[in-house]
Amino acid sequence: MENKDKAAPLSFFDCNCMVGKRSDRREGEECSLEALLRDMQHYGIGESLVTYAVSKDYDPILGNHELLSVISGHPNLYPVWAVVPPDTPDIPSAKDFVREALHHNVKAVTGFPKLHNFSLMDWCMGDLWEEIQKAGIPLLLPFSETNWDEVHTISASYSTLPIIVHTVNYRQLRYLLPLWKKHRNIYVDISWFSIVDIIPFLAQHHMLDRLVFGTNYPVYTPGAAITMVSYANINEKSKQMVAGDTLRGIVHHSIQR
Amino acid sequence: MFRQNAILGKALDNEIVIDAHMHLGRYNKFFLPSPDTPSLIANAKRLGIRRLFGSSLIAIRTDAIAGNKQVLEAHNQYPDMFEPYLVVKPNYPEEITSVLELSIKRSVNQFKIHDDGNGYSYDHKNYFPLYEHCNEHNSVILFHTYGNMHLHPISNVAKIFRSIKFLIAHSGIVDEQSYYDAAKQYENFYLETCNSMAWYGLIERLVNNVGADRVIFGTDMPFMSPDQQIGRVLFARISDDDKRKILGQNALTLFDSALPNR
Repeated sequence: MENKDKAAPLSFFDCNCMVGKRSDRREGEECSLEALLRDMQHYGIGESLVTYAVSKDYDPILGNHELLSVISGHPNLYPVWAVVPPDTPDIPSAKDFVREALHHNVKAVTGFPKLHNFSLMDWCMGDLWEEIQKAGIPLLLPFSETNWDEVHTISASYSTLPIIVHTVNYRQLRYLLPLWKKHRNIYVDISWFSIVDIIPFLAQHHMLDRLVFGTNYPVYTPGAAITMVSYANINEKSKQMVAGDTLRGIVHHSIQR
Repeated sequence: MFRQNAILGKALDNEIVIDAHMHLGRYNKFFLPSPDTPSLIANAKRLGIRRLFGSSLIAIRTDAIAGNKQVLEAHNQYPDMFEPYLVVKPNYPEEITSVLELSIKRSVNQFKIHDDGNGYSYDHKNYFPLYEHCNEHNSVILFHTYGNMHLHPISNVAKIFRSIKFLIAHSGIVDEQSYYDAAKQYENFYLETCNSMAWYGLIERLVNNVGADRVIFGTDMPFMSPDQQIGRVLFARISDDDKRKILGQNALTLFDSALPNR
């Protein structure tokens, strides 16, 4: 497992990044696009999937559309839209929502079911999961908004839908290892998944492809996630997989469709 | 310079890096991939960490006597690398005198206390034999903290025991301002950095609020990865001199001034 090949800067692709004014901002956290771009430069992050704070903390539909103009002109920033249940006036049809998302180059969708008061289960969201699976659009879920039973259920029903659970704390391996054994479409980001030797452990157990790079910016400093990968005790190719290649594979799948 | 190391994953072999907060052993609440001492030592060496100050998780969770024995054995095995914290448990008051005697016998002058599983506030009378001992010997005590619930009782202790070196773990994890207020009030408070939640800008704010001389690097291994924790310092928007203080120089001063000749 020792890393003896020559180190070069890794090409990072962040799946877990937010721009805009959040209701629960901690003093000192950045919220502007300019700060995001400056910090991506400082930390050496080339690309990011970006969620908009307005979509989470005010109005998902308004926020989704505002996000497009906020990050317009920055081809390394990819929009993430927040979903709410179809069959409501917000999203009259799952098909139309996904068609519009693809039209606007949306590269992933996210959901805040606790905050926005809906269920992730089929009776509420099944039509939408079906459509995003067909379109190859990955689903990003903050761990604070779901639980492993829900993730297991969605994953079993939509086995080709990539589900990236992010901001997962370091205490979850007793859930995750059995879950990963059963499902190949569940991924976790490393923003809070920071237990000692997790990266070489997953490499040894042939599960490194379940880990993607995420920072939880601007709540967390990206520096912690960067060095989780750059110092990991694995070879450079495997580091690059975690830094961005696995996520690129997931997202580019949706781009090609 | 430090940022470049971080980007390339280069070890800090030419720097003094000391981990002031780690543990040995397994844990009941969740699975740890690398809890064994050789793995933790190897992880530290890989990054360029020269010395580790660690307590036993058995001691913190259940059995201080067994855990203190474990860390002393680890010190025997890695004398240049591993320094033990001894643990006292307030709900086993009958053991405390023997732990203090052990500290004298083995020339260990740093202690760790944690309320995990016992719920005794740090200003409970059962801790006072420890505090009296530490006040007399200018000892370091590493206090586990989670904001005001711990800082308030620690401040009550600090009012009485002026010669203890209070090393405050997980500084800024919640109730951030309270850490700064306490450190400003008591010059013998040192703020330790390890934190699973890598709050944006926290390292910079610790330095700006209390000065780099009182901020001390720790990892919380085998929970938190040292790979993660060190990135928070290496990328911080502070001077390289301040990073050197945080990464090791301050710990060297703090612990060496507390360590009797062994």
